[in-house]
Amino acid sequence: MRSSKAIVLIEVICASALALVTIVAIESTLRSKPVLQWLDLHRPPYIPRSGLVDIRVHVEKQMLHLEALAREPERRVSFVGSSSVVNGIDEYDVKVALKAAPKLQPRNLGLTGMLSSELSPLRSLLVSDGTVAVVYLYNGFSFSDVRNPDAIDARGSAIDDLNHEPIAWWQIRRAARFGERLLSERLWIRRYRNLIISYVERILASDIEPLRSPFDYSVDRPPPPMSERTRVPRPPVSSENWVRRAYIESSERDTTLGYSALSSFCDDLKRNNVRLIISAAPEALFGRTNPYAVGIDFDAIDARIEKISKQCGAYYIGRDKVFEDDDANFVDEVHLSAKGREKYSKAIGAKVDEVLGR
Amino acid sequence: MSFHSIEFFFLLSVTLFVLAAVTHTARPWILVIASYLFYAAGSLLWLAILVAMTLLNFGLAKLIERGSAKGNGGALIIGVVINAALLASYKYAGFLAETFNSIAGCKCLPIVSLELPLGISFYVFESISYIVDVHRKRMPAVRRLRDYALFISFFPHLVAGPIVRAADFVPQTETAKPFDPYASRRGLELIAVGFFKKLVIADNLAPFVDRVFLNHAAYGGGVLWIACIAFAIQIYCDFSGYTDIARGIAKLLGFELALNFDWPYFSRSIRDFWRRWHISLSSWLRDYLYIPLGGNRGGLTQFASAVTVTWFLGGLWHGASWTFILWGIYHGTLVTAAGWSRGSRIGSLWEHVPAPLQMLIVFLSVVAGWVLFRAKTIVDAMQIWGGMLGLGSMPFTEKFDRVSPLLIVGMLVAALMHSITYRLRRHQDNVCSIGVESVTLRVVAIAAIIVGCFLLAGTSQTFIYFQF
Repeated sequence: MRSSKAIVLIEVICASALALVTIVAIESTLRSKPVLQWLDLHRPPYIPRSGLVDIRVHVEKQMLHLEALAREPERRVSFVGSSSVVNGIDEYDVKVALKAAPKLQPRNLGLTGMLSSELSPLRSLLVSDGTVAVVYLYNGFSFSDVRNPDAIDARGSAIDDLNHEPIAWWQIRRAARFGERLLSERLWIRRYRNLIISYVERILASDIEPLRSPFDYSVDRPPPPMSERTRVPRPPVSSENWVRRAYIESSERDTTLGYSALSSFCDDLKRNNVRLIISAAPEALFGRTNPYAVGIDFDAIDARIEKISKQCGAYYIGRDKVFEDDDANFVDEVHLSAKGREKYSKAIGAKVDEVLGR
Repeated sequence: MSFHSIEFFFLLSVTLFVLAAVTHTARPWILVIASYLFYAAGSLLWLAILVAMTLLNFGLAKLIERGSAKGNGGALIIGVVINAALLASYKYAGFLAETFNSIAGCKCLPIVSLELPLGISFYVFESISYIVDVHRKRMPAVRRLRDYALFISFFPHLVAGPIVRAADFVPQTETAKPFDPYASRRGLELIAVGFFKKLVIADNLAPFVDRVFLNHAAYGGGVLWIACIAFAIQIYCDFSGYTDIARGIAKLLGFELALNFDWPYFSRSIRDFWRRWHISLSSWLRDYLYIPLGGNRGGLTQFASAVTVTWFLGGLWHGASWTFILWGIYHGTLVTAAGWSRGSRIGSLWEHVPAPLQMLIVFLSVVAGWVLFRAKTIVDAMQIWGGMLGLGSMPFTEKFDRVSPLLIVGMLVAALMHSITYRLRRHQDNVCSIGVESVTLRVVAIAAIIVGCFLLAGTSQTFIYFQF
């Protein structure tokens, strides 16, 4: 009996070990430079609301792009923020404007729905060894305590969350979720699972090609119709909606996780001799009347950020209200059109050039 | 508490640890306590109902045993009525009131919807079969309350079956030996296979199936066919996966639960299908409904009536909805037609149809039936059937490009794996586990299953049969 128990035990151990070796082998292959470069080059385009690329795939692809860029040994200026950055910063136009530091490579590190509380957990990806400056472009919703539910699995940090909300010994379910998240964050095959599946699907459909444009919207996308560009305030959506809550908290409270995270990030960069430039991401004036942002005090948010910037030695660039009042610069409330992107990238590039040239 | 939750893993680990530490006589009590904790995690009220019904049926069986010796069946009738009334009040009260109100065109009866205690349909059937078996003298009343409580509450089968018979289970409370090496190995294999079926196959198919059934009018017949076949695979992998895990856990604990699925999609007739699908329910319906109703002992009319009533109630057992009732009647009709055709010209023609074609026809008939099972309303089911036949408002190929090639490949791989294990099983009489004798191959297969579960698990879904 004892020997048969041992045989069964050996079988179980062998099967588990083999599974572990296989998982490690797949993980190592995925993290190897050639594979990562190929995945980054062939990342899927974003086709909003078509159902072809879901938001999880979109978030994971942006994160994998950051992972790929973090391995590049280059001196760079990183542009960090939400989808306003994803669609608002053209690396080429910024580079043209960087006359004082022509060898610096501007990098668009925008992440859809990014909040400032994510700056610290994502620090290792946002700030590489060669990063000279970080340009953080915030939105009116960036400084709340809420989390972007679509991004928790791909971008969240279980350790960070644990620091904010410790787990009691009887909270088995939370502890299990913590363990699962920790594992998923460490293993790319789990963290980028939806993205990897999308590659397999595209390969099976013979529909895989290098990404043509890093932006979410086609270059010829027009501004929204006049009916959506009204300056008349519309009824707000429920404050249960996470975006609305994020706007409200950023506007009404100055002690949120978001504001303290920005201060810490700023101090951290200062200690490491990385220049931080903070500016409001361009948000269309017509967007201030939409159901998510209606009634939000953008001036109060700007004033708080200016104060934080002064306190920690970051350079603050004010909001360009003339640019924001021109509807042709936008395809919707927070995303720039091709024309707007070109104008804005050149302008922010010139400003960064001026700051770095001092 | 679901099998794929961390709470369950914790409970199972503690239970195994305690079982190893206590004496043989204490083990059934440990299992009863573990089962009650498992059930109490859902609701304390549910546990109270379970305990009350356990005490009631345990006592009633003693009375029935004494009464049947004197030819008195009063206690049996009371027992069956109380059990059926409990199930009806939770499961069918709202449905009956709603149906009455819609027929009467008024809001005469209040529609009360009570939260259905998990597994009530399963343990009520187990209780009824027990008291009937005692009445029929197929088994004596269980002597110890501990053994009866374990039979009803044993956590591997409590919430979604298999529907266990007391005569099969109760003797095991004396003989069960946890940690038997070979049983444990088979148990672990079954658990691994069950999780693979559930997490990798069923949970990955679920979002596609849900999307199509929710908005079926937007899809052409091609996509509807794929969705219906995907649902056939999903429900099989979900339910048989659950049963595999339940049987595997029971094996670890030293118990043997009855086989519930025997490659049903390889059936060569609809009667064959029901001998292979949810075997514990279909055999229950046969033994406690169909045969008492006369079965096939009378003429064709009696046979048809017995089958129709049995399948009407079989459909109703699945849920208080006309779609389930019609699904039952649909299968009842197919079984009746198959019964009538036996010995006739059509029957002998069917015998000459090649086996693969027979399997395909039976499979497609079952798939057509799943439409009724899965659709929200009868109108939806009709529209889906219409779409599948090319009679819908959308062209047949509408949104075909939205079907992920990975989904098709996944379905084909699942079908291929199913066929391989079916062949292996036929050669080796090795039901429902890895199906290979070579240690190396078995280790590789288990490792592949673990890697598959780790890498390919879909978005977590509740087991479908938990709702029943």
